[in-house]
Amino acid sequence: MAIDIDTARKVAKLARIRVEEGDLPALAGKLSGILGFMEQLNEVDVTGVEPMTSVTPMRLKRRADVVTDGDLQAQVLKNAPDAREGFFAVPKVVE
Amino acid sequence: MSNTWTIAAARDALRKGEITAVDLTMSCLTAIDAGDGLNAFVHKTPEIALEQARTADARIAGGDAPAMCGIPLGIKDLFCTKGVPSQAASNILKGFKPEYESTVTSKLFDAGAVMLGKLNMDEFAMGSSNETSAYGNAVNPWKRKGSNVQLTPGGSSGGSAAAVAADLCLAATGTDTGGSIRQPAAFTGIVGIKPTYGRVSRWGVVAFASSLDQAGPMTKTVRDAAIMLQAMAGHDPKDSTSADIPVPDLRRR
Amino acid sequence: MPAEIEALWAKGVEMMRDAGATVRDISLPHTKYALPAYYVIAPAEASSNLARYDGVRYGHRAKLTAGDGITEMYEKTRAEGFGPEVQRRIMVGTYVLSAGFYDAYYNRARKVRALIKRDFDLAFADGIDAILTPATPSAAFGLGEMSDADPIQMYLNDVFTVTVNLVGLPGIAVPVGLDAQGLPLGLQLIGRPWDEASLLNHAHVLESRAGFVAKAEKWW
Repeated sequence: MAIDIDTARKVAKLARIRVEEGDLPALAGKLSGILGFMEQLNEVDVTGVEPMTSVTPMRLKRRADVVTDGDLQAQVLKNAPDAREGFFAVPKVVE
Repeated sequence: MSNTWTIAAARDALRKGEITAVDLTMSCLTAIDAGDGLNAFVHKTPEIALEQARTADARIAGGDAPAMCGIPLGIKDLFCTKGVPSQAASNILKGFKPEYESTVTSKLFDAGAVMLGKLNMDEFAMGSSNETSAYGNAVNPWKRKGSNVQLTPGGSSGGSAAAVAADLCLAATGTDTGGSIRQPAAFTGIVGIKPTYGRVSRWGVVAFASSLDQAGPMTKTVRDAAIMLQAMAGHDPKDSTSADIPVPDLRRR
Repeated sequence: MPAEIEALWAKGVEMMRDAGATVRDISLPHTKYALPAYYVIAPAEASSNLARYDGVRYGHRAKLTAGDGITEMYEKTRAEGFGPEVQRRIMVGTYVLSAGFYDAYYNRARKVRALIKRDFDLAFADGIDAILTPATPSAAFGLGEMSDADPIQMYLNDVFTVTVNLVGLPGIAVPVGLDAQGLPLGLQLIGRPWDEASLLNHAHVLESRAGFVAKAEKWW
């Protein structure tokens, strides 16, 4: 299925990646090529097949619902581009 | 020249006292500095390496020497290493120094292994030629007969493959989501194994595709792959998809 | 498949037979769909995993201009921080997971993945201990040689390896010989789940028979 420019713009928006208007046609072309390659999957009869979720049928392990660490504020914020007063700082979210 | 050794040979020489981990590490550090043209090591950690080597020598002298003790390794940039840049060859993680250690590197260090530095790769392990790296590509030590054309070491673990093939380290860690250990190993004439999904913990490895990612060793021989995988493998409560299945003795043959 | 790879594979078969293996040709009919299935599933998972890189908790944050809000921060940060291939895969993943396409791409790929897994389960149930394949469709290529090719050409490099990830099996690449231009070529052995010990033993046999000792001539 060919991706048109509007779809490319929408996908970029959903992915939260800024794409300049002038770059959309090239992007749409590349995405169309890749998705065209996947069309082969339509040849396969998948009637009655369950989608695979895990390579080994195993039950995920559970652990006790207890706190295992904490007091890590300094470490958690250490790599933040902007941290103030013990918080991550971001541009204004609510007008 | 001990940088050209296999893990098995180095382990035996270390245990017999024929070489020290510090000497072995120095030999690799010298090779690494001479190998800058390969662009395999993107963050060198000589201070950490020598510190770990000294500790390894003390352990060996005390008779406590697991197989990986004193073995100098390169670590793919996808593994989080505490206090050491770990940026998955991406500009979006520029300057990121984790406050924690991946399970795989923890296990290797607990076994006495030495970290020489971080290795080049495709950005977020997405690529088959190392050309998507924010550091620029690593280069394959091999060239075509009579040609000067520089070749890809493959990807995504291209820095790991180039470093092992060029004897900059005895072995390296790699990760494999679609062939990222095996394809570069084949392109550089070394051995690379992707273990069964769940055999090796993914905790602290920057995630690409979580149902496919597995870490594994990249080595000069199959025997070395067995020795190193033994130290990397095993259940980890911090990775819920790591299998609670005993790891058999891989080194028996 | 290139003749040189075909010949190497045949040589590997002979080495294993020589070492006492019983060699059987097997068919894994769905593996020809492994590559397209992989390039749906891997980007889908990546688009989710890489959502965390938003310029808030670690790494790069784009310089913002007056009036930029949090959405602009995300979009500019991710456009600056991710390279073109990573951006492409995130967007492919976003698309195949988006409303209206989830079943057509993502769920279909996961169903095909189940069928590929069944192929391997049947082969192992039939008494196969290990599967020998080429590791790559060619020797190492030149840097920049593929830069003009469309992404699919690069993805084809993974044709022998992605299948193993989709089904979660252990796989090992072993150097077996040199091509006509003096470059290393490898073969891949695929083992039973959790049986790395046997896989390594088989690989050791292949390695011993191949006797690959060549090293790159030092130029660096």
